[in-house]
Amino acid sequence: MASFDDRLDDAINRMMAGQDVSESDELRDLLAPARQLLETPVPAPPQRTARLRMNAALAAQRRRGLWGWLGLSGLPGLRPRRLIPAMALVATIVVLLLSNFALPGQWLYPVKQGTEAVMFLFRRTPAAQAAYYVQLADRRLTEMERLTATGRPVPARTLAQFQQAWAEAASIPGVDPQSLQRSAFEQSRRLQDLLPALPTDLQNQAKDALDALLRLAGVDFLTPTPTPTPTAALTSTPAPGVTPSPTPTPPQQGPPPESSPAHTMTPTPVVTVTSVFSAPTSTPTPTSADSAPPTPGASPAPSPSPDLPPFPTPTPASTPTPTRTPTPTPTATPHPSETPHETETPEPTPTSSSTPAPTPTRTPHPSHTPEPSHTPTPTPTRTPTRTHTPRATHTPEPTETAEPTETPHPTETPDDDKTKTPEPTHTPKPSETPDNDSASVIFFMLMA
Amino acid sequence: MQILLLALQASLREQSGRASSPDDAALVKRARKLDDEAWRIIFERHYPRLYSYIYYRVGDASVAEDLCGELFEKAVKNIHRFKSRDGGLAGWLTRIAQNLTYDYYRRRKARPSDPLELNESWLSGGDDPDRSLLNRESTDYLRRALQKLTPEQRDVILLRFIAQMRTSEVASIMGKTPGAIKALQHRALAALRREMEALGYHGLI
Repeated sequence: MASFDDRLDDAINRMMAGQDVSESDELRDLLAPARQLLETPVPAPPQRTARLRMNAALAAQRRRGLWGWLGLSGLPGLRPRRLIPAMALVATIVVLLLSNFALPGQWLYPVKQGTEAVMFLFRRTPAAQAAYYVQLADRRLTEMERLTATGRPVPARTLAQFQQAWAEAASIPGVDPQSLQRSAFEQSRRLQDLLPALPTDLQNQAKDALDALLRLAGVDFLTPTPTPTPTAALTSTPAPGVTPSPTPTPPQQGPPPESSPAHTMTPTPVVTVTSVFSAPTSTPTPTSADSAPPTPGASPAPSPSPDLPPFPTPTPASTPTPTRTPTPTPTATPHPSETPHETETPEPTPTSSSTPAPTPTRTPHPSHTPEPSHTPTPTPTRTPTRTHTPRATHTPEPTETAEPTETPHPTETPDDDKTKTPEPTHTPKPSETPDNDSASVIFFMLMA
Repeated sequence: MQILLLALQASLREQSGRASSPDDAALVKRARKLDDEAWRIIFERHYPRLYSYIYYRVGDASVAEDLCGELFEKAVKNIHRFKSRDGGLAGWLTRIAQNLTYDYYRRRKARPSDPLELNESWLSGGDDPDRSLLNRESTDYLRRALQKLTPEQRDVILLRFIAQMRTSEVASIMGKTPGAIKALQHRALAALRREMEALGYHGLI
């Protein structure tokens, strides 16, 4: 049942619509004044002035500019003056987004690099910074891929920036080694695929970069390019210890390495490890050379090395055996010189002769210690067997060294040595010798 | 005579259209694009009752016309702010009219409740002396009785019967519920009748 107010309102509505209203007594008293109101004459409104003003307002609105012309003046907030900052912001965002796809040589590329530099500022932790460097390297690699895919020249600067990014990433301490290794491996594969497409003048640089990446990833044997210094070392060293008899190598390398002969001796093993990271560091190893002369006995070591775990024996003992170790270490540049010595060492006399050259180096026994350090950091896992073994043997057989001189042919001895090699479980040492070099530290962590 | 007058008013109302007619939304859409035709329709549909409303509020035809001009200027400039929940286009326009009358009184430093001083030239009734007399008499009583009402009662009477708005539209403008407006309307009519009788008007049947 409708209330009285509702019925009154309904009656008024019907009255306003011109309909006949049957009034009940209760409504009549109220509908009378309502009818009076509705019958009140409505003033004839003079419309002219009001209409003119409305038309003028319409014309003014249309003149308000572009938005009015576009029919957008009615949209809320669409006022050109208000839109300027918004449009500038949108334009900036668009440019920044587009710059992400810019390639070297394009006008947006500097914007891209600027943005990268700014974004780096937001990376506070070393881990985040390292991750960002890896990301930057990935970007450079992608750029090179896109450039080669479209037949455009790859600027050397891009490749240099790629290398630089990795160098920075590897130099930051406290980085998650696994992720770094994974990224390095992944990018190394991409770089390897990209290699043939790169211009010839960049090939060497790219190979260097690839080599470094593989070393970072812990896959140094996959390196395609023999060119880099390490390879040279490899060849030399392996010859002696690894496969056949080192004899061949020694002669070849003998001469050139002579300058730093001492190294040849023991160092070789150590070098291998270190080389993986930084070739330069390896050089110090020479010190161990001292023992080298006695190496004759070492010759046997080579064979054992493979089976044995890494043993970075202390300086003293190491000296002798070093020669074999060389085999594994090949990578190290310095080795070359050493290898030769070794060969010599086999011959009793050589010791003496060799000693002269190496001796100088040995004296620095202290330096010896450093060598071991190299070894550990780099490729503890891989090299260990080779390099260390030799040393181990050394220690035990120092005496032999004397005798060995005759043994000239290390090859024979090897068998015996092998057995010995196991003994030299001194391995611990290597670990101690942590490198100051940050890169080597990272590797050590990786290995761990 | 009276029947003729009623028929005339009914046709006038029909012509001016209702505030919330279904095509208001389409009209607003076109009006936002500054469509001349849309604005012409809006003007013709709403101007008469808006003018009456303002006239009864300010009591001067020339002022009412001036305020109406200002009202449509504002409407053109602010049509982009119109929202359908504002009580429809009629309600939105009436609220502008209400604000304009408040501003007018503020400028005059007078209150809206001041007695209306109607310019009654339009009540002449043309050549019909009877109609003219009727208009004068009833309008005079009505005007004086309206002054005796409370501002809310006067507002509801003006919006409902002079501006001829629906209860829901009045409710939207006055910020009340339709139920409250119906009750207020009831009280306002009762008060108006009482005041007119008190003034000695016996024409209410």
